[in-house]
Amino acid sequence: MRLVAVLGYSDRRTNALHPVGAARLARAESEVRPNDAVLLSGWARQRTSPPEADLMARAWTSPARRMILDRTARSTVGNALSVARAARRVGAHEVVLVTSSWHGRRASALTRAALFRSQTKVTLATTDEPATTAARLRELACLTLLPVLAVVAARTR
Amino acid sequence: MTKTLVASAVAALALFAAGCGGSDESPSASPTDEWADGFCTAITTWTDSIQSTTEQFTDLSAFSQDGLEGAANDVKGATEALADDLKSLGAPDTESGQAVKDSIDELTTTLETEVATIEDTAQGVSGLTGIPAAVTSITASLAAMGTAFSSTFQALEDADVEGELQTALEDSPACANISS
Repeated sequence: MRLVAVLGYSDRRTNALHPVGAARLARAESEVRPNDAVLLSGWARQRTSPPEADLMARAWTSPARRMILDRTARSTVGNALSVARAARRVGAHEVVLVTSSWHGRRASALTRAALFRSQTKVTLATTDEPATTAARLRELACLTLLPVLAVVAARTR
Repeated sequence: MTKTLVASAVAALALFAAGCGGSDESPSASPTDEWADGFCTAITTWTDSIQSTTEQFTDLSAFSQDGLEGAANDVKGATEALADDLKSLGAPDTESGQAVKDSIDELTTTLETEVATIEDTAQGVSGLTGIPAAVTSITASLAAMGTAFSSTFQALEDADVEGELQTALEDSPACANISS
């Protein structure tokens, strides 16, 4: 079975599905097959807003064999660990990781690390909206620490 | 080395251009623009300084006791410089300025705490048998720094409702070469 894993996105400006999250969801729906399992991953950034996972679930329309919601992931490391746990749970032979292109390198490296010593293949499906400068700075800082974060992800179950 | 030379050349050209371009005709940078330049420079300087060091922490066998202490010192020096640079920026002159400063203060506190832990850990290692536990501890500190960075950048974007900081960052020459 494949696991199509969609990494949520939100900010504090809206309680609705953020356009970046909506683009990732649309990309996932173009990838998914009826026999795939789907993981929607993302927390609630504000107490008054629904989790990203729930917002994506409400907007999801494509048939899938199983849908899993992870409302706990607050970071890319958290997303990666959640994806790895779900992949083990459903016995996925492949994870299709769906996120923005500017986030893909870090997200896929951490997911591969979290799946360390498993046979599960990780492929990346990205959206192409441009990153803000703040997002690019965040990626730069986090990529600098990526080797270390990958070790942490590989050690965590 | 090449990167340093290129950066120096670019900086020299920028100074030359600033000096010869007719300063009365050039719009001067606003305080927010200067803040954005300083912020990007602080982050890119830190990432350039620390990149090769963080890669070492993925391989336990690479470390001797002296090597571990050296790597810890590299992290300490670069991160203390970053914390000082960020503190000296103060609050940007924007609607969200104080919230941005609060987030950055929180980041620098985390960086300083984790750097102190890294230093204590590296200095407390006695013999080769202590290295694996020390590397695990230092790795945890670096991961905490990564989480703090991620949270801070998200907080900056969340606070900047008017988009003033985003505009300044997008327009900043120091931010222009950061690729995604």
